[in-house]
This record gives sequence, C-alpha cells and structure tokens, in this order.
Amino acid sequence: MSDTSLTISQSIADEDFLERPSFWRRFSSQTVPMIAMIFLVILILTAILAPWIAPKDPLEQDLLEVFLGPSWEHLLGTDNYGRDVFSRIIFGSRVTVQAGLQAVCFAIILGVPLGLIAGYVGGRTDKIIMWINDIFFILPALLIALTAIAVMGPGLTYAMAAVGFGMATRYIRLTRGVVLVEREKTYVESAKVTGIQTPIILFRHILPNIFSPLVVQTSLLFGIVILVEAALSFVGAGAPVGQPSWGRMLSESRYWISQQPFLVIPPGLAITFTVLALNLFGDGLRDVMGRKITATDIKVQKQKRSRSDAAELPDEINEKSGGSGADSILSIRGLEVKFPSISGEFTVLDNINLGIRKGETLGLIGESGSGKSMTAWAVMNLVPFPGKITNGTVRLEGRNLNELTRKQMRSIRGNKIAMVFQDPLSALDPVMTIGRQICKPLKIHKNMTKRQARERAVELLNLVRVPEPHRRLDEYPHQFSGGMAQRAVIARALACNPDVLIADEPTTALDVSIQGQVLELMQDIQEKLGMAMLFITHNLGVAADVCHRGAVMYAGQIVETGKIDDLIENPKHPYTAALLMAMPENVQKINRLADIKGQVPLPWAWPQGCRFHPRCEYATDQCTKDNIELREIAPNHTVRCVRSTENILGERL
Amino acid sequence: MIRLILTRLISSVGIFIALSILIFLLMYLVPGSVAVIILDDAATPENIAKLEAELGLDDPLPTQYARWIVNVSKGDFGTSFLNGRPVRDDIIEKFPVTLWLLIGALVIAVVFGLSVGILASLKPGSLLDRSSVLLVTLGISIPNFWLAVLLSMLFAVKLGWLPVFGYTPITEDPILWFKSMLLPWFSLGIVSSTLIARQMRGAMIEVLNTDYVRAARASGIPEHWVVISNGIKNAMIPVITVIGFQVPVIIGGSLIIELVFATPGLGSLTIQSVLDQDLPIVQAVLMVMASLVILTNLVIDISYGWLNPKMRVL
Amino acid sequence: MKKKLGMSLLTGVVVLAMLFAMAGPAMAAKDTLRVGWSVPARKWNPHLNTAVMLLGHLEPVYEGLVGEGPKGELLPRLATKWEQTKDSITFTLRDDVVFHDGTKFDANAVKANIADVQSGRYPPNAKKLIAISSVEVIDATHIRFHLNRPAPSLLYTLQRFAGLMVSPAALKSNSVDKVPVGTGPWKLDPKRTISGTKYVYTLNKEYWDPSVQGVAEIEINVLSVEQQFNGFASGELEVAGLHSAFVPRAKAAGYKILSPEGPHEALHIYDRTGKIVPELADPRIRRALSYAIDRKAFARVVLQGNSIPSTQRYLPGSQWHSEEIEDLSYNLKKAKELMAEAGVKGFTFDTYSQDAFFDMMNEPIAGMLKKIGVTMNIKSIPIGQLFVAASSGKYAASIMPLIERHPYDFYQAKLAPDAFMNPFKYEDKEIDALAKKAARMDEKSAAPLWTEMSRLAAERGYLIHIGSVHFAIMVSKRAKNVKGRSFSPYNIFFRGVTVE
Ligand code: SF4
Repeated sequence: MSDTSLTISQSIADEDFLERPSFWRRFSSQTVPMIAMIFLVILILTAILAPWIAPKDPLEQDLLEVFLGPSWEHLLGTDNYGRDVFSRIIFGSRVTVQAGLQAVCFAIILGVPLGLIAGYVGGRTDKIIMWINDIFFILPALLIALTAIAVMGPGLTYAMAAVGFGMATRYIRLTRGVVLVEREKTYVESAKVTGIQTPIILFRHILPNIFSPLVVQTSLLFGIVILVEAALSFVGAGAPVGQPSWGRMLSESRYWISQQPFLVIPPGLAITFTVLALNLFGDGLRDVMGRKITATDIKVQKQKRSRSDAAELPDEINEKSGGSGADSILSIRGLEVKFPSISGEFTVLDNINLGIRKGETLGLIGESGSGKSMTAWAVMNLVPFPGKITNGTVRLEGRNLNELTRKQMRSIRGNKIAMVFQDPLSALDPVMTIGRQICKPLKIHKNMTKRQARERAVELLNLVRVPEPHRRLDEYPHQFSGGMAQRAVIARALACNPDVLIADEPTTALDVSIQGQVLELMQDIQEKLGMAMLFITHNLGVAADVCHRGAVMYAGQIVETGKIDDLIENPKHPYTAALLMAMPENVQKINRLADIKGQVPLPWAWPQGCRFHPRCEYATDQCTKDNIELREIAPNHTVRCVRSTENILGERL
Repeated sequence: MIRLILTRLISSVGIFIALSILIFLLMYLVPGSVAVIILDDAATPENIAKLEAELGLDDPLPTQYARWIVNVSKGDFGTSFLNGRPVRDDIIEKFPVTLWLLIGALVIAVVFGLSVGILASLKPGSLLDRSSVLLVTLGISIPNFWLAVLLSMLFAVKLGWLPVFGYTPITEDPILWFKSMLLPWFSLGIVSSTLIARQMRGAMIEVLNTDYVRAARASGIPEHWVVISNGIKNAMIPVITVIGFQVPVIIGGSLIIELVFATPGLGSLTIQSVLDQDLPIVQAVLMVMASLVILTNLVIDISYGWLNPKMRVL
Repeated sequence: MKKKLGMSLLTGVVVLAMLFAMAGPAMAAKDTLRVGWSVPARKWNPHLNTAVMLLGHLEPVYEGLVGEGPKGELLPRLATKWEQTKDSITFTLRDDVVFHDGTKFDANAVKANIADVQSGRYPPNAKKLIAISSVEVIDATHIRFHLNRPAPSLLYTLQRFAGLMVSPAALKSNSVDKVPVGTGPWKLDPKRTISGTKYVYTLNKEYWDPSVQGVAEIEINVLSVEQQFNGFASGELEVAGLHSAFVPRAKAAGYKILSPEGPHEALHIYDRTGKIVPELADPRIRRALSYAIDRKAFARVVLQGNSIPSTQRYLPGSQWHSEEIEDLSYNLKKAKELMAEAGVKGFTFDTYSQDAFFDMMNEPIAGMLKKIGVTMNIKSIPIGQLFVAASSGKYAASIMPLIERHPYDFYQAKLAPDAFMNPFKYEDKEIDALAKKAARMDEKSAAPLWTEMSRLAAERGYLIHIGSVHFAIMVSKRAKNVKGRSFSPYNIFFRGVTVE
C-alpha cells in the first residue's frame, strides 16, 4: 500500500527515461516492504527450524504451571495445559506455512500451465478454459474449503487442495494475460520463424516474464490462504486437536479469557502480522514493477491515454521581461513555484516574467518538462498538489490574481481565462455529455438557465464548425473524433467570452491532417473575438504560424524571448536553435537527424550555471559557474546565454 | 444495452448450469458411500445396501442429475441426512437472515469504503490519507472472526449496548432486529469497506489527476461539484466491479461471523452441516450462494454498462 | 468545496454511529426458561438418537414409562407401577394422558413404540431392547414385556431414548420427523423454532401434572461456550451446561454451579490383538499407559476438581467396586520401566475427537502419554460418528464414555467377543465365563462375579480408566429449583424449574 498517491517522486520514478536501477535496488529502497520481506524470511526460517528454535516442546504439558503470564522462562506465558505459548506460536508457523504452500503450489501447478495453454493456443481452448475459470471465480475460497471438508471429512489436506484448486483461476488469468502480451511481441514471432518449437518458446520467453507478477500474486494469495486456514481451524474443521495452529489457538484462547486474557493476543497477532507482511510485500513488489501487469489490470479497462504534460510533471520557465508592461492584459511578474519533497523544497518555476496584450498571441515554447504547462497552471492558480506559488504575481487587467479569494478566483477561471488542452479526449469527461460540459460554465458564470445555456452551446458549436450541433450536444466524448472533440473543447473554453485563452499544445494529439484546420480555426476565432492567447507548444514551426511573439523555456526558466520571426530567423540561444533544427521541415532540409541529445533535467537535478550546459555544444567553463541573467540584446529580444553576443549560431542554418 | 444484458444473461445461465453439475457431483466424491454418512451410528451393511437402493444410487449419473436438477428447480433439495427434515425448509427459514446480513454489510462497506476512499484521495499524502492507508492494510490482514470476537466483547459484553448473540426476526420487533444485526454487519462490513476504500482512493486519485478534472477546475467549476460529478462518477466505474467482488467476500465472511454471533443464517447452517457432513444442505447452500453471486455479477455488469457510456451503445 | 463534501460524509458516519449507540440492553422475558446448549437437535424421533447431548431437546416433549431421578433412580412416570420377574415386566399405565396431537396414551401406544424401536432402523437402540421378545397388551392400562434373557438394566434403559413414548399416529405418518409429538409438559412451537439455532417450547395445557410446569416457555439456544458466558453476562440465559474447565470462570462471575455426577470415561484399547498397533498387544505396555496417566492432576487442573479419578469402572460405594484391584494409578517411573521391559522406546497410534469437549479430554491425556514416548494423534471426525469410529476398526484406541451402568451392559457393549465396541473381536475366555455365569444368577449373588470381571478388564488394560468426569451446569440467580442430571453431561430436569 505504499502507493502514497502521485507524490512527485513516485510518478517520476515511473518514467522510463530515468535510468532504471536494478529491480532489487528499487525494491530494497522501500522501507516498509523490506521490513515485510525480512519478517517473511524470518517466518519461513522459523517454520523450518522450529524444533531448534523453540525453547520447549510445543506439546509438553505441565499441569502445575497453567495460565502463567509472560516471563523469561515462558516468553508468552503458558496455556491451559501449561504448554509454552511461545513454542506453540513457533511451531504454529509450520502449520501456516505448510497449509499456505500446499494450496499455493497446487494452484500454481494447475493454473500456470493452463494459463499458458489458454493464452498461447487461444481460440476455443482459451474460451473453454476461461469459461471454467469463471465458474470457480464465483465461490469464496472459504466455502470451497468447507465443501471439501463436507465431502472428505475434517482436516487440512483436502481443504487446502480445494482452496488451491479454486485459486488456480487467479493464476490462469494472470498467466494468460502475460502470454497474450508476450505472444504479440516480435521476439516470440521471430523465434517461431527460426524454427524453435512451441513449448520451448513458451518456457524460454514467457516464463521469465511472468515471474515477478507471479510472486506478487502468490504473496497476496498466500495471505488469503492463511486466513482460510485460520478460519477452518477456528471452527474446528482444520488443524487437528493438539497440533499447535494459530487458528486453533485463537479459537481455544477464547475459552480462557477470564483466566488468562493474554492468550487471545499472540495467535491473533501472529495471523495478522503474517497476512499484513504478505500484503505489504506483495504491494511493494507491485509498486516496483510499476503496476504493469497484474491480473486485475488486464481485465479492468482504464481510460489510459497519453498523459498531458501537466500530469507528467513540473514544467517551468523564467524570464525577465516578456514584453511591454503596462498595456498587457495578462502580466506575470517574478513567478516562482516550488514543490516540497523529503529532502526539502525544489523550484519548478524560477522567476518567470511574461506579458500578453489584448489581441496578441504569445507562444510559450519548450520541450516537455521545461515548465510550460506549469506556467499555465500557475496562471490559473491551479498548481497541482502539493506544489505552491511561492513568489511573484499574476495580474489580469491589473488585478493581482494571487490575492483573490478562492471564490473570486473561481469566477475568473473559465470566465476571464479559459484553457484548451493537448488531448481533447482526455480533457472531456467520458461519462458526461458534451452539452453538459459546455453548459456548466455558462450556468455558473453567466447565471444562464438550462435553455439559454443550451442555445449558447449550439451557437458555440456552430462557431467552432461542428456540424449538427443539436444532436452532438447529447453525445458522449467517445462518439467524437479527435478533431471534433478539440473543437468542442475550444467551444467550452470560449463559452464565456474569455479575455485570455491558454492553449496547451492544442494540436499535438491530433491527426496531422486535422492539425492545420484546428490551428486555422483558433487563429480565426482569436482575430474575431480579439482576446489574448497564451499558446503553449514544443514546435517552433507551429508557433511561427500562430503567434506574434514567443518565449522559449528551459528547465523552469525563460531562455529567450522576442518576436516570433526574430526567434526563427535569428535565434540567439543554442536551445532555441536546437529546437529549430528539430522541426520536421528542417530535419528534412538539412538532411540529418538533428535531435537534441538528452532530456530536460528534472527540477532537483538542475545544473549549476547555465541549465542547458550539459547539452549545449557551445558550452564553455564560464557557462557552468554563475547563474546567467536574461539580457536584452536587441529591442524586444532577450537571451539567457553568456555567449549570446558572439554570433556562435550564425552559420548553422 | 439490450445486447449486453442478453449476452451476460446467457453466460450467467451457462455458468450456473456448469456449477450445478459440480455441486451435484459432490455426493459422489464422498469416499465410500453417502449411505454411511446418512445412517451414522446405524450403518450396518444391510442398512447401507437398502438405503443405496432407496436413494436410487444405482441409476446412471445423467439420470440422477436430471432428477436432481428438476427437483432443485422446484425448490426441492432433498432431505437432511441428519434429521430427515426437508432441506428447503431450512433454506427458506435461513436465507432471509443471510440476505439481510449481506445487504447491511454491503451498505456499511460501501458507505464507509467510499467515504474513507474519497476523503483520503482529496489530499493524498496527508495525515488522513496515510492513516486511512494504514487502516485499510490492517483491515485486509485482520481475521474477521477475531475482529468479531473483539467487537462483541466490547459492545455487547462490556458496554451492554447490543445483544451478544441471536436474532430477532424483523417481523417480531424491528428495533431488536436492527440491534441484533449491527455487530454482524460491522464485523463483515469493515473488512469489505477497507477493500472498497483502497480501490476508491486509487481510482479517485487517478481520476482527479486527469485532464478532464483539471479542465473542469480550469472552467471555474466549484471543487465539490468537480469531485462529485467528475471525480466520483468516473472513479465509480472501476470501483463498482470491486463492490461486486465484495458479495462473495461477505458471503465467505458470513460463514464464520454467523457462527460467532449465533446468527441463524445460511452461514451457521453451512458450518454445522459441514461438520456433520450433511451433504444435501451443503449442496443447497452452495446453489443458493452461487446463484446470489452470479446474480450480483449480472447486476454489476449491467450497471457497469449503465455507468459507462461507452458500454451503453453496444 | 472539499470541506463541504467532507462534512456531508462525516455526517453520515455520525448518524450511523448514533444508530449504533441508540441500541440499549436487551430485555429479559419472564416465565421463560432460556437454556444454552452446545449442539442442535437431530432427529425428533427419540428412538433414533443415543447421544446424551441430544437428550435436552427431547426432554420437554417426551416421557417414558419410567422416570429418572437426579441420581438416576427409577420414578413412576407414565407407568404408575411395575413388577419385574425373571422373564417379564408388567406395567400399570396412567389413564389420564393424551399426546400433543390428541391421541390417547394407552397400552397399544406403548406396543407401537416398542415395535418402532425394535424395527432395527436404528440398531444402537434396537440392541438395547433385544431382551424384549414380545409385548403383550393386557388391557388399556396394563402391558407386559416378555423377556428372553436376563435384563438387569432394562428399566434404566427405558428412562431415555428407547423408552420415550411417541404418539403412534405421528409414528405412522412419519410426521415425527418434522415435529416431536410426545406427552410431555411442553410442546415444540415449530413456528418460532429456528432449527439448528433456537428451539422454543410452549406450555402443554392438557398436561396431567400441572405442578411440574414451573415455566410457561422453554427456549433452547444452540451456543458456543463464549456465547453462553456472554449470554449470562447480558442476562439472556438462565441455564447452560458447562465443561468443568470453565467452572472458575463461572464462579468468578458469581453464577451458581451444579455438578451432578458425570459419565465415566476411559481410554478404550480396541486393538488388544496388536493388529494395527503391535505394541498394544503387550499387556505390559497397556499397563504402562495406565501408569502414565496422572488422573489426579487431570482432575484437579483440567477439570477443576470436578471429577472423581478412578482406575476401575465402579467407584467406592458401588456394589461392584473392587477393593483388591492392583494399584494402576500414576507412577511415571513404573510406566517407563514397563516400557523398557517390553523393549519399546515409543510408538504412535491414532485416535479421534469430534468437538471442543472431546478435545479437552484427549489433549491433556495425549500430553501425559507423550512423557513415556507414546504419541496419540488426535484426528477430527464429523460430529455424531463417535460410535461408528469406535467400532470401525480404524482406531486402535480412543477415550469414550461408558454410558452402560450395569456390568452386564458393560460386558455386552465393550468386552464380549461380538460386542459393538470390540471391533477386533478380541476374546478373553475368563471374562466371558464370568459374565455368562453372573448373568444367570440373581443380582446379589452375581455381584462378586461382576466385580471380578470389571477388575480383570482394568488390570489387563482393556480399558484404561480415567474416572468419573463431572460436567457443570451454570445457573443464573433468576432460575430456581434447577436440578442436574447424573451421567448426562449438561442435562437438567426441566420439571419444576421456575424463573424469578
Ligand atoms: S550559456 Fe553556455 S551553455 Fe548556456 S546556452 Fe549559452 S553557450 Fe550554451
């Protein structure tokens, strides 16, 4: 259970670009699962070595010393026959481990091969196996165990076999899921081509892949089996009389509550701790595997699409003067956003200064992770928890948004400032009709009635050129194509005639053929309505089409600002130049792969000096020393680079 | 939607038939002969032979199955090995108790599970969240019968607020009925509520991190409306399945919990019949419980379709 | 707002908590005797039961010709008097008795009942009446049982299961399978009864002796030990049977305790031939087992003194008690010596247990045998199969009660070569001769022979006696005139009991 939510560190650990430490290193860095694992190892050793560890024979009774409390001689006291409770708990682990092993081994031996067959052969065999599987999924494990006892008579052996039989279903699902994934992978295919026989493919390629999920599943099921064993022994249908079993000890201890209430505690705790350890261990293991393949994940459909930048993490920026001050409708001054972490706070946005005039489009340009989206959220005062705006102001028509109450701020959002997102389908609630989603802001901000809001919604859909608006208002997002959905999102953003529209990569997730249309639409509307637009993109080319001015961001700072034409024709920062070269058109033109090597560093790993220097071809010693200021090198053109005046980039393009 | 219901219905019926065959066969898995169990202390070879013929154990299996399933569909599960009472009487008498137990426990599980899950998800990493995570993990690991014993020691014996055991039919005295059900409800509900809370918390955190929730916030929609209308409604889609899974979990739990509180439902009947090897009762209980689970699965599948517009168009 | 939502959820929790708290203590009804019992009723036809634990559910409803006193003595009941000769018993019956279904009780009803037992549907009871060769109806109120063999304990047998009278109409229609129909002071209320859990008995207004009907209703609740204590604590029970081990707990809580004389328990050695456990064929080893059992410690600690340890079948004071018997009591040194003498280091055998109370007998004894290297594995068997298990030949030995009180019955059940509980058909010619001879003599002159027989059985280690194990009955302050019943764990007499 250590998935303590999307805390920053964890969601970052999920990212593939981080160099992954070994499985074991990742696991051992988690404290709780490690403790759980150590507990389990001790438990297993105890079960094996019980006769050597236990201070007394668990059956040795001494009727002269009954119901003794804990002492040095009897660590957990003695029971109603004067037997040493500590020794009985130690020997009890044998029953527990043995019963668990019986059931789980039986389940694995039965379930894994069947799952392999179902997944690999597919077709009818698969259907039949999965159908039989469904049947056993119906009955609770305890009921299956009890049924076995009803048929075969009391005792654990048959009951545990029956539980294993029932639990085989989980392994069938699990194995089948893994096989289905692996089967599609090319290496299995290529193995086929090279003539390796089917069973060998299965074992060589698939078994190693299911090992980890198998361990997770097993540790969780082991917990269930132990509870079933305890329950059976509790009702007297499980472990035989006299045999030290935790369930039996718990059941019997109830009789002696008045003589020695302590007797209830050791077996109850032993069961609880063991099951707890198994659960924590399993959860920890699953977390380490990035919750990739578990039985439930394969079945439960999730609407997992590409995540927007914002969900990913801090973007950021900084800047000195993004443009003229006074006449800006939206002006950002000295904005700073920080996130707390175990090792103190870290900065995500560092002294951002921007301004947008009415009717102007400002491009905010950078790779993912540079802080663009975070800037947008900070403008909305919606920095994701637990981040905080720690400095600076955001002014809308001169009003400082940071000083507004929550209610006042809410009346700005969606009303004065509206947003359009990267992936329209994930920006629309899948269980709500398009109509409701467009109408809701109208009702809130403009106090419209249902009818009025709907009329306005039709108007808006017409504006964004969605055909048959009446019908489409009653449809759900999944019935919309990407392009149409983005139009709907734009319509929602425009609903209240905002003064500022923030568009966060509005075309990135769309088909290339539609991108142009949507961009054109946005430009049209902006001209028609005369609002200010903050246009976030990683693509300088797109920015060039849409924006008047641009600000390039890198690692939480603004590194270059200027008229968009200046940025494109005469970039002064090596990062801007690199972005320019990464544009598809340019890649073709210069006929070489011009990827920028490496990634934007993460906020806690920002290097000293110029944050771009590890990736910069032109870096000098000076670049690594002090913080570099944003300097105005020409009217309306600022750059954050020590070498900005040296025409180092001149001959590049 | 209708197609969805129909396909689910057909597969449910198929599963039910297959399960009924397995349950029928239990009688033949007994080592030796069921006649020995029936006759108990009266098991002389002559008596055994006589009884086997009487029971029609010599007929071919399919004939016997056909006979059995026809009887079962009429509600006739045969007679108890032990006291010769028609099993149907026992089931009719005890099923409502277990059904109420299930409903109450489910209500508690859902109310507490969803509340805790939602509250925890609103501030991930906060004290409330971390303590709920701890509680949830503990809840999954504590044997429910231990919990039941501790609860009854506290509320019934120490504090005397509630009856210690037994059951008053709702028709006799609704208040006493309510009181007699509270402890079993909680003992069963708490464990399930932790499972639901855990799932709900995860789902909510995921949903509250989606773009459409950000988008809703960015549209100036009040937070409580966002949480309820976007958050809970979306998070419920995966959680509804987990709530469905609680039906077999609670039924499994009721087997022991009923015994602890002497609640006269199918659970205590099952344990007693298992210890007595009274197979006709065990068979009947299995059939009833399986039907209950199959039925809820069906309802869950359909409500899943109802909650999720994507399924609705099918 | 998050706060608002949180508040509304919290409110829900608070409301539930209040509902929880609202529930007050449960009320006790007057005039109802509420009894805690550990097992549910089985068959309502008394002729199909033998386990004393099942007597309680039948007791309010059924009566026999002969009644039972607190010490097991014979009392007139449906028969006002009787006369036993060598080959017959003649009863004079009451003429004012009616069954719950309106059928008149008379000699023909008695005849139908004896026929039902003797039909052989249930051999354990049929065997008990094997001495009755025929039943002669003299007139409506007189009946004679003709006997074909000595039957010194037949009248005692008639006090319980095989002798209880069921309405002949109900026997005929088999309706007794569903509802018991007897002549007793109370009748079962099938509507309020929840089978397996709670049995409700209401007043039989037609009863012939209203003076014994102290309570209007009897409620038998099937409960675990824990629930019984809890029930007492919350005032929901008046009487409950208890294992002696729980006596201190009951005393600490201030309840009244009755401990009528319990059944006699012994470790029965079935495999005297050594067929499945060869060591047991050696008499020295069987005696070693006897020396290994610390009966006094068992009685004092496990049974809280509620027991009379004994190494022979009959206790002092009984006409069959032996004074000459060798010392077979606890002597660990001697036990080890005997084992060494027999050249055996240790061995293992299987035995069985069916519930917590048998566990409490088996577990401590197993612990004692362990000290001389003998391992007694206790297997669980389904409830109700004790006698099946004993006679199955699968078990070499087991601890069982000796419910037969007369030495003749004792011989017939345990020692005779064809005895039900002699699955290995072991034959001891000396004991056979003694029993056969004694059976033909009158009670008084037979006594020394019976004493001799039971002494030999103990000394030769066929039965390792443990003693008389008393059970306790816990009685609340509200219940008056409660009397325990000898040799029947947990049972009380419902007649005459009053509440408050
Ligand atoms: S400061 Fe140095 S490292 Fe940074 S961009 Fe300029 S040249 Fe490159």
